[in-house]
Amino acid sequence: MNRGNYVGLILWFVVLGLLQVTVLKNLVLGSYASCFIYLLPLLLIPMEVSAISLLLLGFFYGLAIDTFYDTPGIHAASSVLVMYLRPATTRLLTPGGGYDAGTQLSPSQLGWGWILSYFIPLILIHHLALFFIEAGNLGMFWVTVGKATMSSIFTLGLCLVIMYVRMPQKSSRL
Amino acid sequence: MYSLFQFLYRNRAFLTFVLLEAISFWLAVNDRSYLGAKFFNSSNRVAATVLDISSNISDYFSLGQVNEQLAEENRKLHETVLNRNPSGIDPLRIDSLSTDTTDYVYEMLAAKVVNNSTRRINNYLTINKGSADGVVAGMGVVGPQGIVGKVKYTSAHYASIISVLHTEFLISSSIKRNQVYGTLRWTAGDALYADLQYIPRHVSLHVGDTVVTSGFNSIFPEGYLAGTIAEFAISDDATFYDISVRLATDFYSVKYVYVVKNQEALERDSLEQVTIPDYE
Repeated sequence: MNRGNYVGLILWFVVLGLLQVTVLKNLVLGSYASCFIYLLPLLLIPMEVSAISLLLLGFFYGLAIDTFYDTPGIHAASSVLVMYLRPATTRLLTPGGGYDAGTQLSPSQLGWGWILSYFIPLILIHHLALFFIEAGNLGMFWVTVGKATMSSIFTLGLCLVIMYVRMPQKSSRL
Repeated sequence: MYSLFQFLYRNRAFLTFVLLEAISFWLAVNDRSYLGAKFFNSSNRVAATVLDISSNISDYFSLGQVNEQLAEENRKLHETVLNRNPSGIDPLRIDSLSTDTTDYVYEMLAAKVVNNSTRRINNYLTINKGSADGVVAGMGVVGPQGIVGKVKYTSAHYASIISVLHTEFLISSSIKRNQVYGTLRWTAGDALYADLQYIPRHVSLHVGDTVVTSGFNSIFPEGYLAGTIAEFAISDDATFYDISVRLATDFYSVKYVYVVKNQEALERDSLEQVTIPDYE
């Protein structure tokens, strides 16, 4: 991971964060599915970053989102949870032969299957945590689960679109 | 001692995780905490500026609707003026050009909504008037169509408003036709409907009855429109009706609101604090 990639990642943090609080905040499909795209840059932090830094990044980024949502702590709590589970998930998904040094979390390096099995559980956990903390109790359990699932599909869809668009296109040789 | 440090070091990720979760939950549960009030809400300068810019852009798409709302409000006001009963006032002694506003109990301040939510369990709005304009926490906020909420936090130029669509915001209201008092409360879900609670079973109700604020607290002026009864039911063993009220304010489209300054709020609240020990 070189310096340029870090600058790119910081840009993603800013751009997707702003997109989240200005546009996606007001966009709810069918009164159930919301999109929390701010999770994507957190999931794309390079693997060599330490667990503590991941947690702190998740916390402060979540808190920044919370400030716009007027929900102190809710996004922070769920982001920290995801950041805590992230190293274990990548370890679980280690391909045969292990990760190469400096592997980037991108479909071109790890394949779409890896990206999906990395995104799906973490996005789902994040959304479940988010909606249950927001609800504050287990009443309307299935409504909350439904909201979390629909929103996860929405978030995952947008994440995959962004991953696909920013994937370096293979140069075609004539 | 060494092994303790070793243990702490080995579990540093887990301990950091627990610490950060504890802080997050503390913030989430204590939504009146000093930190929450001071920094982590949308009246914070950075957040409000971003939201303000974004709403300045998106405003162009709703100008038509806003004009319609304002025209409708003007129509109502014109109607009130035309139909006002002039008896008891000597028309010769009223100087219509210089209205004396010094003894007005309520003063209103127009503000623009820069941020609004309707889909969550507890919803808030942000407006572009703050403590520099005289907005103080606890003031009522009404819109062109009906009641909107109550000021929670203020910064210099912005204020964060608890929307009527907040499950812990109870509004003392009454049914206009027969002056029965109840509590209006939103119970999450549909942003168009709220519940009216504590209306006893002996009261006769009709669908379409108007629900207005009662004036029992100093937040809203008495008789301000809250909504109309959409449907009601009572089971055989219940003491109170289950009433669903269609809210007057369309929270999906509210763009301009008025902050209500009650000049007598302080006097009234301090008196009530003394007489009713646990007055909320």
